[in-house]
Amino acid sequence: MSDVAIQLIGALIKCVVVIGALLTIFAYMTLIERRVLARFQRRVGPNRAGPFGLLQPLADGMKMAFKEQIIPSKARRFVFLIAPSISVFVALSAFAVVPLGDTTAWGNSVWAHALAPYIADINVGVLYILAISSLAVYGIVLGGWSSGNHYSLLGALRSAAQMVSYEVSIALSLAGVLMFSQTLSMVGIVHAQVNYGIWFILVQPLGFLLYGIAATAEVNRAPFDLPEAEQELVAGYLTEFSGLRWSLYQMAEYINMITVSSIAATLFFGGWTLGGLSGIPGLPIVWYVVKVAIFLFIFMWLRATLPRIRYDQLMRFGWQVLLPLSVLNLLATAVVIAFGWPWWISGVFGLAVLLVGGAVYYARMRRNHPLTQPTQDEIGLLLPQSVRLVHIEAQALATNGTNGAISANGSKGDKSGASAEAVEAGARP
Amino acid sequence: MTGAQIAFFVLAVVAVASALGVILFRNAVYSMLSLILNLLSLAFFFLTLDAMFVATIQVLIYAGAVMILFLFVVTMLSQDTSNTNGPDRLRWQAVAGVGFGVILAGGLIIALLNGSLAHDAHAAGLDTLSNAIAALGGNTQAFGWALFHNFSFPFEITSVLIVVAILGAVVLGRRLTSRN
Repeated sequence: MSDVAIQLIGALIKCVVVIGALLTIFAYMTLIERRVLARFQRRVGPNRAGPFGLLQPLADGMKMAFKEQIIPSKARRFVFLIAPSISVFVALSAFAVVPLGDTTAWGNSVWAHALAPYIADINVGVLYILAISSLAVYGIVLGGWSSGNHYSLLGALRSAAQMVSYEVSIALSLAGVLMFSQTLSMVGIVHAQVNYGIWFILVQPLGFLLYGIAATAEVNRAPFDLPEAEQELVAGYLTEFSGLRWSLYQMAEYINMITVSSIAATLFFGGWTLGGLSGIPGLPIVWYVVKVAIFLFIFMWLRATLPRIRYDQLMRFGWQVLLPLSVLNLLATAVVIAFGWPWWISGVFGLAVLLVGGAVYYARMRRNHPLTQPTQDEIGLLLPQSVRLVHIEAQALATNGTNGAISANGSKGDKSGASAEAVEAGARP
Repeated sequence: MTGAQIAFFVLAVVAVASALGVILFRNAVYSMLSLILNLLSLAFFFLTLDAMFVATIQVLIYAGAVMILFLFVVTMLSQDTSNTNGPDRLRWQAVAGVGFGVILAGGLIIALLNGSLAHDAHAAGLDTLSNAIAALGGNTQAFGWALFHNFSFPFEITSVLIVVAILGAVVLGRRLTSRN
């Protein structure tokens, strides 16, 4: 067989493997996320289907496949039908240049090169990911627009504005790494980190933080999940979708999370390398998976911890905080590169900006919201009368002495009865 | 027919059909979708010419950023305003469009016949794109070399133009808000 034919067959095999793996990981990510969120909220989570709930994704998939797919009568049929596929197509294509290991991971033969653990190592790798993921917004906007529903349209417009605003910060925050690596190829960037002997997180701490925030907004995850804010917009662009089409959108969201985590792991944390432990065949993929899994857990952690931010806050944060900071990071990195200074100057600068920024933010928070300890009277005043706390009522009644039945020596039964009465009395006016 | 020729004819059909779609669709959103398809097929043309960097930038800037702003505006319009079913009020546009189209086609043919490659590139043995890419060690490098050697003056002038446009937008935006 000719080399070209081997390359083609290798690429085909890798495409099938990657798509299959991504879809399986998506299915289990939904289970893991539900279990993790449940632990955060002191619940158990889905554990009925199979051991530890391991068959839950299968059950969900069956349910989704057989569910009726409703098409609203006001929907623009053609666009409504293809919009979820656009999202999934874009999410899957972006993963093509993510390297899971080195070119020589399986040896040096022609077949080993053809089956190297990435689909393509192109000269413009990072730009390719940025270009493809900038198309992701079409799936969402067209889905929202074609639903013929105002809530869907509002969610879609929000996501368009949000993704356009944060895309700029993503590109600028990655540019610092690209200056140090002197290449756009994903494999080349990992090699550059091996040559430096460090991970680029040490060189670009500010860039990493900015990328992390902007990427969370780009994939519409909490606390930036305004396009599907359920308290305001039902489910945003997802409102009218059901069955398989709905799960296609979910699939796109989770695959985008994996891609975004892979970029972070590759550009800032050395990709498949871990010190000298990447020479053993098979082990690099393990390091890559561990690094991505940590980032995916952080996504779930953020969702469980942070409340959703308001739309004006989102826009102001993107344009007035994130963008200037990423330009500053870019300028500082350019100066370090231009004068040939050692890499740690860029790292120290990034840390200094982070510390100063954190201090300024803390000071402003304290000025606007001074720390005060509310007194018990204030608590009583703040609560509406109908939800007044039982023990406060009981105490207040006991000290006032208006009800003769309550005394310090009263039996337990008496006390609970009196408290119930007090609550009722509180609720009545 | 070679693979490149097959790719060219398939892409040519898609590009021309989507370009016709832009002007023939009655609904503004469908027009815009065909424009996006047209821009994407242009990106594939660049790919078949070995210009991977330009192809990526084409997707990133036009399909990814410019058209999303179009989409943002068009989808906000109501159903009535985004449908143009009424009589064509701008008849002269068709005449002007044909005129400019003939001028553009003529210019392109002249450029093609003269050979549009830079003299410097000839001297450096970089007279085809593939040679330049091979000599300079990659697509991005070749693009950067051309941009900052042969075309640095137009590049700087363009950046000044963009800064002026941004300043203009800021000034116009300010004036509107202060009036309110």
